[in-house]
Amino acid sequence: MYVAVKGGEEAIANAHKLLAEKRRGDRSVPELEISQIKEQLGLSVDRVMTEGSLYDRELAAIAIKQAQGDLVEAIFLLRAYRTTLPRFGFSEPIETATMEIQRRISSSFKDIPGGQVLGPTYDYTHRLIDFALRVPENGNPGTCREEVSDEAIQNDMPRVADLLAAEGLLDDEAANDKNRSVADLTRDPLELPAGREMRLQNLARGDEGFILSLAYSLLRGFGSSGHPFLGEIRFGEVTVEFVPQELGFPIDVGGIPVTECIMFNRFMGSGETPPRFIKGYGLTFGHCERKAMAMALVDYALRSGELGEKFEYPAQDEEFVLFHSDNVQASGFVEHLKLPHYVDFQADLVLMRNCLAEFKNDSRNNKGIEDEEAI
Amino acid sequence: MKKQFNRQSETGGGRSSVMEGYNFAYLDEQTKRMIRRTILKAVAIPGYQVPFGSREMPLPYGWGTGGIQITASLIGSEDILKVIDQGADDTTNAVSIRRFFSRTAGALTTTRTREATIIQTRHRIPETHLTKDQIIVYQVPIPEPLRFIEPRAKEVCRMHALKEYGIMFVKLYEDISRHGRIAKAFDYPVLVNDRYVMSPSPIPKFDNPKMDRMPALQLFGAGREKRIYAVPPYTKVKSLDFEDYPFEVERWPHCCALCGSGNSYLDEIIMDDRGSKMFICSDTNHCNERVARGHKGNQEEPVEKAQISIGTGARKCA
Amino acid sequence: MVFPIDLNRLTPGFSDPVQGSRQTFRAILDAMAHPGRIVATDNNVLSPPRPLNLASVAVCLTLLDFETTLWTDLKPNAKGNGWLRFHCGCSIVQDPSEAVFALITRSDTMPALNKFKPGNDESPEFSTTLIIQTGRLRSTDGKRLTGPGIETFSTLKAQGLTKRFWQDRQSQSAMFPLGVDIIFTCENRLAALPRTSSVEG
Repeated sequence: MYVAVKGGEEAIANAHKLLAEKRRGDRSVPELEISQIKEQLGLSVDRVMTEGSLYDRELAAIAIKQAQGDLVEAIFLLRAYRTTLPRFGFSEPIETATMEIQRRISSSFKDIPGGQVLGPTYDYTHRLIDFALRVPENGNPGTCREEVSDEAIQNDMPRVADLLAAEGLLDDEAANDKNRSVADLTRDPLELPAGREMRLQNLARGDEGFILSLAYSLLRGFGSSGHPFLGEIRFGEVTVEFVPQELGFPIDVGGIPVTECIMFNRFMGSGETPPRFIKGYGLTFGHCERKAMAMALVDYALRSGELGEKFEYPAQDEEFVLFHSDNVQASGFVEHLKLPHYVDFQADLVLMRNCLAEFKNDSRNNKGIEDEEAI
Repeated sequence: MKKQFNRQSETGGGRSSVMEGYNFAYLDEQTKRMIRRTILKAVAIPGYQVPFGSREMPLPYGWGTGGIQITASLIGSEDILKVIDQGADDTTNAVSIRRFFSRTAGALTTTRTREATIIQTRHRIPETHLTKDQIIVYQVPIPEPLRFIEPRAKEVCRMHALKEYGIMFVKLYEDISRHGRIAKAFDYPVLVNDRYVMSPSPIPKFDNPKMDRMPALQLFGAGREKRIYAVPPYTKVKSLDFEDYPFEVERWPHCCALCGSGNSYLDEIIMDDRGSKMFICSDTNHCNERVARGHKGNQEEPVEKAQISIGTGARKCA
Repeated sequence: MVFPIDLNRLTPGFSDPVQGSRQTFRAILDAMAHPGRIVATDNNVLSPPRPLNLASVAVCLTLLDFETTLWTDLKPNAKGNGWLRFHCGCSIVQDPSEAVFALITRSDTMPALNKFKPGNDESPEFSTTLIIQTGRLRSTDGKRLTGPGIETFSTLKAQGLTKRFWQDRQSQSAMFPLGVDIIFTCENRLAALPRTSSVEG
């Protein structure tokens, strides 16, 4: 006797129990504290906040813990929570020129006003596993605050791009009207052609791996006309300001760390557009350098159309990039194949069985004809 | 005095909330208004996919987020909700979605098609005829019927605008010339109200005829693709075909092994590794109700070798 | 010019905004899915300023917000406009062709239908939804409606509509899928005439 095996509420509840157990792991090992994730897995937190489009270290850390460190899952958790939040309004644009710099380098000039500030970076670490980290405390350095003085870093460092722009050598899109309303990717459907603001929002939320690979493809010649230059990458804290309707002037609501990257791309001019460098722009919450750089490269590639350059490669294709960059959408749809599809499959089975039967029938007949001809 | 002035945009609905900390039916009121405006336009333009600001839901994209957002914008205390996946009320995703609405909207739920005021479905239309004043909400993965012929959104947008569906017919005709038939067994495209070509969602084409002049309102939600579309009651829905190759649905030579139904869509169950199979109704409610009324199938005798064919002959069942 | 709203004399909106707008939406959807069907809004709004009727304000409270624009045939400084601006948060526009919604309290002097947005070929949904207040609304001896949402035919009599209105409506039919969608209101009841309906008689 056949009994349909189908998952009920109980099966789901049990799966959730198993998951909780798996998440906790061996109970003889102390449970992770949210503060430990916030403090010691900071780059994970930064990525989850960036792609989750929500600046909240505490929530991001909880999401990482809940997702057992699966960052795409954690991003999803943060996004789903974000949807339910009421919206008070929009902040003023942040001013990265007055960033409290922790790191800032330009590879386009040997020296720049304010200097090159290496800051916390993996760049020149030798990638050797540090076995000292195996034992807590042993791996922890003493504070380095005495050695690296904050005093040495000046705050108002002009952006390298602004210096170049003053010379008329850089596109001046930044001079756009500040009062113009900006579309919001999380509220409006994405329509094509998308404005640059929509593209940048999309890239900022986009999967780091996807954006990185696209940027890589550009550097390998799949779409890039020339070698891009890193104008500047800077990381540090900026002030967020908000204008409450009842006050009518901006108030400071706090500071957030961001990573900003500006790439210079040579543009030889076309028609009325003079030759100059064109900016590619990347911005993330926290410290996500790889993402910010990749984003800046892809941003420029997506401007090919409006610059009148020919575009033929994936990273230049607005529709291809924007519709496939989001890992919450992508993983949802790829993983939906786990849902039952037996009704559709049955429909296909019926069709395929008929096709196969006819195929066999036809080849039998054809074989008969050939046999006759052979005689 | 001040308290009675509730400006709309400030009402998150916390008071009516069933699940603490969340809005009634999960979505905030502003989002619901946006979705409701979209639904009304969808009803006014049958078969046309209206873009909407789809929100991130706590369920993954591709798992019914579009349908859920529509249902969340409809559901209330007078509603009775039925959720099915593959025709069954007890598949995991259906259970999960039903639970979502019980928790967030305190919704009454049912498995009985007749009783439901809103039916959210994935991949099936119930066998029981839907009646006027019922609403069926389809979960749609890819709303664009032309997507696999022309993936570019801008291009297909133009085709819909100009009612230029030549490539669709070319594709279907290529199928006929290569395979002797239209090689589309589910998500079989339809023409709505003689104007828009529409994806019926991945329902088997067996269900397509049920859409034509259905007395219930049909709403379609694609969350990831951010589209809502609709077919109002009693609207003409025609499966695309050719005069010499008319549209046909799947038929089975056998009946449901549990209830003996001879005109329902069947699931194929593999019984062992020697090829014996059994066929049972995909619509669990239809099947259960028939069994309750005393109908019986022949479940002791599994079908030895599947013989399934397209044809018009009726099955002789109990 | 934005006119100040007299908060001291403002009557309240829905007593339960979540359920009030949900119930009203279901009534509108029912009407829109069944052109000509007269549906009562189970109304818990109270006393809107004249000349707005109960169904009109319920529809506005349900569908309008800061993302939508509204055109009305009221005087710019009319109490009704202030009421709608306050409760819906919508902005009121002077030009009907910029309006997502339009509220018409006097159908005899209303602008021609082609003054409103008909949508465009690629986005026919970008069209105005008109809310027209009528003196009487009944489903006997009126216009004969056919089309999607209607099993055979339905009849709708909306008092106060001019001959020109129906001529305008007739010429819009040829533009389908473009065209405006209309909600007629009377007291707490409403009926819809989407662009899909053919009108005779």
